[in-house]
Amino acid sequence: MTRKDNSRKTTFSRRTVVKGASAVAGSAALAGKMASSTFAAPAILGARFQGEELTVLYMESGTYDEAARLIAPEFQEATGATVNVVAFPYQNLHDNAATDLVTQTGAYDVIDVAYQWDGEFSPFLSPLEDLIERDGYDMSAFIPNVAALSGFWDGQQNGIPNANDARGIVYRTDLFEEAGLEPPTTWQEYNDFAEILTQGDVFGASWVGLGEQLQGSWLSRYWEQDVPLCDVDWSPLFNSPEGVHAIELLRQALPFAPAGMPGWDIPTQKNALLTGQLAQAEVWPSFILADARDPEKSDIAGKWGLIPFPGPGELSAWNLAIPGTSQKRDLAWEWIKMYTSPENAKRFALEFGVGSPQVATWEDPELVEQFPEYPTILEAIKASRPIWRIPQFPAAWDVLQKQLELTVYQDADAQETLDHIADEWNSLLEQDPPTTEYTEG
Amino acid sequence: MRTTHRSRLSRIGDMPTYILFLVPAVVFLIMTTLYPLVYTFRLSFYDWFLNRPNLDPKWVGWDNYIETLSDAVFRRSALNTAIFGIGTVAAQLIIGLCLALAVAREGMGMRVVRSILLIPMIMTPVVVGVLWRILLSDNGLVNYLLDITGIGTILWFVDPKWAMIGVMLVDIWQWTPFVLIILTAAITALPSDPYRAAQIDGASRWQTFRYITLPMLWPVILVTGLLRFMDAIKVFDTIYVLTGGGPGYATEMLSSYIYKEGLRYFDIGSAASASWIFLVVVVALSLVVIRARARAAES
Repeated sequence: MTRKDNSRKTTFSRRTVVKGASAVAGSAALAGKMASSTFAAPAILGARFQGEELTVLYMESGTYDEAARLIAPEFQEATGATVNVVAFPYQNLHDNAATDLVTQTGAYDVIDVAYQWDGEFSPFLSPLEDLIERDGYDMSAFIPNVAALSGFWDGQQNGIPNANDARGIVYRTDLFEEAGLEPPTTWQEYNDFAEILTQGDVFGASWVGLGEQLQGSWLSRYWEQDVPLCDVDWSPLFNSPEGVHAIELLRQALPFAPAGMPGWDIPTQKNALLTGQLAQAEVWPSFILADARDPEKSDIAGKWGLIPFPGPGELSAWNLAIPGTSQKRDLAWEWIKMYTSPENAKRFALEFGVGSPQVATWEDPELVEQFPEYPTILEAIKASRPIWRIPQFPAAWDVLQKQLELTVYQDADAQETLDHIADEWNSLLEQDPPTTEYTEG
Repeated sequence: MRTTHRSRLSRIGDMPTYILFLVPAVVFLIMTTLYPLVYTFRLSFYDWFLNRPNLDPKWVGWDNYIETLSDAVFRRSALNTAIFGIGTVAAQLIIGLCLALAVAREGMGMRVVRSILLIPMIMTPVVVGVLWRILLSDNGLVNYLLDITGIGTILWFVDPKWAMIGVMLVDIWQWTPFVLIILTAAITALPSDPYRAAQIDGASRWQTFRYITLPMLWPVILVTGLLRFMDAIKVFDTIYVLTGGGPGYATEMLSSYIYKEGLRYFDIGSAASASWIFLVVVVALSLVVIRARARAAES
């Protein structure tokens, strides 16, 4: 009995050891693969998440949302989980996401967060440090200023950067050549060239007049004078001659822009640019690049170039975060890893013109060959400055937008307008004074 | 007499049944209307930001009301809302009445015309906003038509005056059919005797309209106007899509002001106080119209 028992024990032990060794070896190989790759092995995940549903929220732009839809079937194949991609235009994306977070509704498992909402959303998001550490997720792959400003708030990593951009000027190389001009290096030159280039049906200047875009055009003209928006204690500095000068620069350019431009949204400006009506256009490159070089979509294919803004531009950066209410944190993390993998960053850049937050994408030889503007955009991203990221951002930027509309397009006094904005910002800051110093680095 | 007394007693006996049937509706109303109203009123005395869990709600008394009333954007929004509400409802009543007089006849053709005229009202406000944003754009159909008729291009989303006129035109286009339906039904239901008497007396068409149709329709016009006004001043989606309240604050309405305070900035005390001011004004205006209707009905 004892022998028998012993022999059985020995046999069983051997099998267990073999099985265990295989499992350990398999796990080690898998762990190694997971650490080296950004996405885990399909077979294992498939069994774990089979039948689950993930709801992800993106900006409706034909870029980030379309990229999500592209990989959703692949994610299902890999994990067994279906993905419901929800998208809203930028104008109501904040309100939708913020309402979901604040009311703890839990409608979304992953939210694409604009970095300017980081401070406001932070209390409602699930920190990712443990997952990053567990899977050896490589945070060093990101452009340094993007990694520092997008998804990281108050010492906490709440999001993984998934897209970014820096505004630039698309200019018509053929028209500049004809006029014997080089691309502008200052905003004053931009205005001077706009006057020269405005002829017939072509306008020399343009930006997106509507919504949140006007602030960016004003900010760059302000930052060109090397003055920060606020001092270290967050006191506004822009109600100054420099702020007024930035408004004057915009006003000077208006006669050389289409009359309806103050009412333009991004697609309207893009249409005007691609149909050859604009000699200079202030754009977000990621919305333009893919279509502008396609002769089927663009009358200016082969006849345009891109330069960074003469002054530092406003940074655009997005990060994928998991709401604290999500019951599917691990699955959501798998989605984030898949969406932000280096392979997909390159794919999204090629297919949708998405600006990657990863340095390797911008230096990829195939991409640089296809998009010669890549080094320019990368430099612009590195040089760009962040806007407010504190919870008061939505109210502060609404005031800025509305007041700039009144003074740039209508006849409100520039200095009085800037003083009014500064007063409003000060009262917003008093509600909940920031605990850190103001910085634009 | 005895029967009446018995009937009364029987009614009193049925009271528990009546109450039983009424309770669900009353409870539902309390939960969905009264409680939120009272709770909103309570919130209006607090300084409370829902998006900042680090800040506790703070009792501020009437401060939110004082701040709201002294906010230039609130006052501008209130003025815009009044202009929008009065302008659109007046136009809808006049156009709707004219159309109703024209189509309030029997026949297949009229039924088809009435059905076609109802289409704008069936469309969702966001679709209406998107549609008209395209139609009113610089190179849109409206400007094309204005151009070929020699009027010239109008920058609907740039000029503050035209932006307000633009959003009003869209509302008039969408909601005139509502007035049309009600007034068509009212005209069809008017008694025929006064018209026969007027015909015998040799009254002209204008006199018949002025002294018979209009006085008899007046109570209906007032109620329709009140319903439309209460709806018009709550306009949100169409303007949100069309102009976003701009340029500047040119088309900012009270509903969008409250929306931003509450659901964008999460300043819930300010949103609650603005809502209550809005509510009090609407109720006061409604009472005036209801009184006017009662007087019209009496006369």
